[in-house]
Amino acid sequence: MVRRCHIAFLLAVVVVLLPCLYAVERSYQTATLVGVQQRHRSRVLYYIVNTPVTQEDPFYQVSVQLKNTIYVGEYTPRHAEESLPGNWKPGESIQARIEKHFMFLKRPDGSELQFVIVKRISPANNH
Amino acid sequence: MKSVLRWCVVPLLATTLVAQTAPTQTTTKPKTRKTTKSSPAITAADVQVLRQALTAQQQQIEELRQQLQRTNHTVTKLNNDLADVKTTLTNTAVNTQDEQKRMSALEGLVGRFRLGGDVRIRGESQFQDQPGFFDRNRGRVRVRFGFDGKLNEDFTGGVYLATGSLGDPTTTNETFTNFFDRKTIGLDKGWITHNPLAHKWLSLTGGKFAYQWQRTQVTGDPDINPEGFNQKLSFDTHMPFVKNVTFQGMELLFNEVTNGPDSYAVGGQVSSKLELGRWTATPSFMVLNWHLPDALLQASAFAVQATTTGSTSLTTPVPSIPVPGEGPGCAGGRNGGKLPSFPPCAFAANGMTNSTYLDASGKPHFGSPFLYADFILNNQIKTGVSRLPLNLLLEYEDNLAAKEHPVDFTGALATNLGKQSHVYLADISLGQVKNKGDLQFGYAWLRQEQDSVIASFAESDQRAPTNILQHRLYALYKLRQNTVASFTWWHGRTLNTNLENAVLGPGLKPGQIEPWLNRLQFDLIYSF
Repeated sequence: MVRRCHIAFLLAVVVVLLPCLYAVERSYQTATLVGVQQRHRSRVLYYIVNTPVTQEDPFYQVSVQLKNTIYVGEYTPRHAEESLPGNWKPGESIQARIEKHFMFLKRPDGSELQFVIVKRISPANNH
Repeated sequence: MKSVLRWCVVPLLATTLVAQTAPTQTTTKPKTRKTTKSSPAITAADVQVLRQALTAQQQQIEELRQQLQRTNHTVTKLNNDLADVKTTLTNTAVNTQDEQKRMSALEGLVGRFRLGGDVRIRGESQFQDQPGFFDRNRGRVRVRFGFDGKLNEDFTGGVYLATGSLGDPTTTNETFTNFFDRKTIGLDKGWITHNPLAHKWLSLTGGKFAYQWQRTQVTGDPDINPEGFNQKLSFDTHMPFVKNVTFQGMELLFNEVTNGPDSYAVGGQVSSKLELGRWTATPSFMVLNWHLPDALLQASAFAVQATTTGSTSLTTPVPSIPVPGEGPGCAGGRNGGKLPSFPPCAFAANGMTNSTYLDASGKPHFGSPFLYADFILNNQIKTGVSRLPLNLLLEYEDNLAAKEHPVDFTGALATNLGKQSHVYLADISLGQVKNKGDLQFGYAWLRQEQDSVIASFAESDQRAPTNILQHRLYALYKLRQNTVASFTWWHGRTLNTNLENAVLGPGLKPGQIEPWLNRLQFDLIYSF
């Protein structure tokens, strides 16, 4: 009985920890930049009675193709002057790492930028 | 080195030997060849000389050996110093990397948050064509600042402070008065929102937060930040006409009692975003039920920031005593309405204009419960000029729980009047305030009946919280990306001067039509 409890406990631990194997960081792969766009999002700063006074907050939308899937990610810069590397242009190769909700792209200096994946497109379905 | 010396010494000695034994060449007569015996090669003197030479060589070797030792010692020391330098450089590089990592982490942490706020300077004038009305002119300042941002990938939050009396949630203004005294600052907002990445359609908010639902001045002053909880389910669609559908629930807690029932408002809203060509509309419908609102008529001295205290008890009356509250203090009854003069009293910074009554024990109560049904249709129509869209805001609100008839200034039921529960708002404007150089000007018309909403939370700049007819002209200009200049002209009067608690100009009698009260506001707002 005690032995069964121990086995059951070990099994439970394995089951609980098994998903953690998928948390192992995946390695970078070479992807192709499909699109790089700067866009703006309106944010209400305050209201004057019923009239909103808004501000345009910039963000970047970058699409990369990795194998057969196009990943569209969004990055919100920390401040208005922050921009993406100048050599990020459609058609260029880039090192990319895809996680569940995030896409990491490597900058020329070796550091990485984290994008939130907003869309996954299969090129076959996109035609 | 020693072997080299050794090999040098041996030939040297050998050479010395040869030098010693070489016969001396002298100029002599040629001798006849004789057969004679050769003399001994080495003498004692030669040996002595050799010994002396050897000793000298050995001394030299010893000196060279010591010099070599010193040189080796120096080289070793230099090698050690070089190793130390390498170690130091490596450690420095590692430390620099660690510092860079810490700096990146700090940058990442700080970058998650955004400082924000604004400063507003206002010049305001009030005047009314009514004898006894004293024109009012005042300067005012409003400061709001704080930060908000990502706590992590699924949570956002923020904290904001603002100026304004702690006894009035409908304004964050501070008047230039009180002999340059410092101004009050309080917690204006503090909230956390759960918006999981895996389910971006879901937002759960708790704390003291900005309005999360669509609303206007009708149901709440823009400066109020309600407290409690909000749940939002927002779904973007890819349909041609309906772009978004949102469902919200709200639980607003406004009075917690230690040993008694609490007061709160519970409700929900459904809204949508519609697009058809140049026209975009956001219709919404909200229901909000206020539970035990009478607590607002029995508020503490702290809640109203009372400026006087006392007692109107018949058995132990106490005359008015000044107390150092910032104000506005108790909202007294008007036009026949009866409300306590001292705390606990009515919490209504801009006046209690709802119908009220006193029970047998002298406790005040609202004449009607409050169950808001609020329909808003907000429209924007793109014109040929992108910076000049046409905006049209329409609203109809009804207090479904209002009593059938109001009470007049004599305390009698006004059976000639129906429910005083409706609000009608129409606001039309041209332009927007988004980018530098943007201009927006517009006109709004409002008819708000006595018991349509709770007076304690209604718009603070209109003629009175309820029972009013109000016009408003306004213009806004974005001078810079972070600076807005604005002008507003409030032109309003009491709707029905016969009703209990109606606000009347000085000397005005019930039944008379009140002259229009004008309020001009010139604002300069800098946001950061």
